[in-house]
Amino acid sequence: MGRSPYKVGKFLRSWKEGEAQTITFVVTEDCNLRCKYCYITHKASNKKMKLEDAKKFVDYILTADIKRTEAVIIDFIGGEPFIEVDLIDRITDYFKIRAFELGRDWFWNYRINICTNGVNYSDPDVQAYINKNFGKMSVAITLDGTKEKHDLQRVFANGDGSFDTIIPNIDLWKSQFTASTKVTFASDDLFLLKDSIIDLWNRGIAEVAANVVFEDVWKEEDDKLFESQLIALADYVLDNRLYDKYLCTLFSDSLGGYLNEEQLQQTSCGAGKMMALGVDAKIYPCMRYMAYSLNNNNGWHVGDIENGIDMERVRPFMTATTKLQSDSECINCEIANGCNFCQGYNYDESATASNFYRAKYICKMHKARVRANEYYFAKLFNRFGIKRDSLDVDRKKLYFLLSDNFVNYCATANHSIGSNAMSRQAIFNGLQYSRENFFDAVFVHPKDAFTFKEELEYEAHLILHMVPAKFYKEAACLHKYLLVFDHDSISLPTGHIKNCMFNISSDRIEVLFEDVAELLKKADRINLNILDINKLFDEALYKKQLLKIKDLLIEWHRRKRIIKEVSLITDLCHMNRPNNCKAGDRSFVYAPDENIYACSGLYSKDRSRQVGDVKHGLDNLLDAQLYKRKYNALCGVCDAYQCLNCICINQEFTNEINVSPSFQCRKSHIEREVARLYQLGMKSEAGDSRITELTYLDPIKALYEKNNISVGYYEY
Amino acid sequence: MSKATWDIPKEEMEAIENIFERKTALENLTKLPDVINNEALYEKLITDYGKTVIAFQKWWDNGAEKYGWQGNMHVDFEHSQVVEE
Repeated sequence: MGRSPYKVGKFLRSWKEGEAQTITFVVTEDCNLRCKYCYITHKASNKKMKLEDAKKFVDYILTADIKRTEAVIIDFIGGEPFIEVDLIDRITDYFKIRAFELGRDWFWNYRINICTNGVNYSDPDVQAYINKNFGKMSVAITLDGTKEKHDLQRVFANGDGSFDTIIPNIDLWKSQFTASTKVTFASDDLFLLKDSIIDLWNRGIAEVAANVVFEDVWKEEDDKLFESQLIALADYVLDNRLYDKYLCTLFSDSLGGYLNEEQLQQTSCGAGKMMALGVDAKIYPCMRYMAYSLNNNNGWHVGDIENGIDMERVRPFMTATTKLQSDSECINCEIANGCNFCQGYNYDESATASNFYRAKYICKMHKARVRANEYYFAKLFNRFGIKRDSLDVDRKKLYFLLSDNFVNYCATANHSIGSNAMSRQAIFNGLQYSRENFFDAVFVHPKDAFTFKEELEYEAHLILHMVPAKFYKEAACLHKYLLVFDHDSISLPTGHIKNCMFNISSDRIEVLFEDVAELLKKADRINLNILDINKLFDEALYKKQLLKIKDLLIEWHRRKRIIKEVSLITDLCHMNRPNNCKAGDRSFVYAPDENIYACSGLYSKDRSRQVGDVKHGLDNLLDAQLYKRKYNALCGVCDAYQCLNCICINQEFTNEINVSPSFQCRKSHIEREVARLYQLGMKSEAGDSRITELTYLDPIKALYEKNNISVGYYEY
Repeated sequence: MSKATWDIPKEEMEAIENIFERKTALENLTKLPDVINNEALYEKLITDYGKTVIAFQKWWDNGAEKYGWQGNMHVDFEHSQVVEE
């Protein structure tokens, strides 16, 4: 496994990559602290697990007819688990011996996990237990950061802070384990966030997992404070080049973006996949479903040690998904990725005591976190050239037209002869709007001049520049850019290019192969953009040209074992979902007049059609649902996912933005057919998304058949 | 002078990790009186431990032959590497 160039922004590695079964023993409901933010709101000094109950549970998990993963994590929790270290020791021994006797792999493939407040960490009994199980356990001590922060929340029953009691134990702990802690932030201590994380790092605790509480505690302006603290922390990390030294999970490279369908079918945590034995000898889906942490609903157990697990009561957890637990706001949220939730807490907040519910108190805090996260990764890239390892997630885009004479970058060509340029202040305003509203910024440069100047303020934004290829020398000073070629610029001595765009007019298709072949000599990938198709588009010639490009790509691979990409042919082999242009839905245009439009084509044609501006947002986006793919009937039955489905072309020829004209559909199906032939020619080398043969070019046929339409005069 | 490192394929890494986990678990079992004083259980443990130690040594011998390791090495489980000491 290669080392990532950064740690700040990575998650803690979990043992066995999270594949191990977790078995939790809640050994006591008592604790020697009374932390103010603790979710265990009903602590009880008289509730302790009986050893015989724990033994019965161990026998059950080792012998019952249940599915057992290869590895197991034995988790001891409280209250404070170490106040019952003798009980923990006996349970551990019993588990190890019984697993060995029974020949279960769990006798060796296990980890003991304990998270303690550290108050009695140096007690001889605790130390004896650690020595006895050394190499097979991990212990985390919860230290919240500075003394001020820690003592604000983590207090004894008499109100005294616990910091001075714990600190003497930290060096001993660090000598025994990889120092890793978990910090929780609530409303009252947010202002100490930056100092607290730095303090932990300076104490030699390099790995800090941190989060804000899910509960309904957040006050007005807390989100702004959270964001400013995170930005200050990011600056500290970057200014001192600490990004590869420490770890803090408040930053994450997988944060933000829409959830895809696969992610929506998962849920946020392992409740119901893990088992927790309570002090009452009942088995719970997670300790957060025990009565001691619930305030509104009853405890939800899934079994007990006498009767085992009632699988009927587990079924809600096996069928729970983010999609079913969230409302439409969360499902469609542009930054849903990484917005975690606690199922147990949600259940407690549900008015109907349902597991299919989601509390949303954390929403504004998550938004603040995402903004600060974008700031950190933008500066990490712009200052140090370190790219964020990102998941393949869909993110909103805002295209800044730096001039009315912007370079073509979508299917509708820019025929404007105007030269209005976007002002410096307008750029700043647009960037601020992008950050606040979670857009990725794309700067579209003018066709005829390169006037852009980098500014220090841009460093906090990750900007993709689309630059005419003739300005390739000037573009070299930009952090991230895509060259846009046309027939006149393909021969420029740009050197090797990984990725580029190539524009060709629909009435120049006869030279498509020739131009693409020339460009492929230096480019690994071409995003092919056919401009201004219309009813007269020569489909036969287009297919002929694409077939020649297809043959060339296969020949490159056969002779040189090099795979080159031409988007409209090769992308479909790897796609299992549509990649339409998303204009008016997840993509917008910010024009020199400081208004926002659904797309550049609509801006070029009719400037009265703005959908908003950076001051007021998208307040004029009428019939917004029509821009969404699910409102396009033809796309709903089509798998030519490489099709951009240009809404501008739709509007011009069918009068509706969500209905494609037949020639656009046929063009995409020609590409689909060539992609199928390319896949056949490349055999196993061209993706895993199988493209089937179709008998039609226009998907309206499929729609007719699906909907069983037999009336009307429409002839397709 | 920087220490020599060897990137280890996933399968080989999982093999040594499992052997190491098993060896540690068996060693920890020898600390339990209920195991030591149980003749059948102790016999089972000693037999298993013997096989595990042989597997452990074999992994290092195979690695030395395949990668040319010489001298003292250790496994960096976090980065899937063997590192010269």
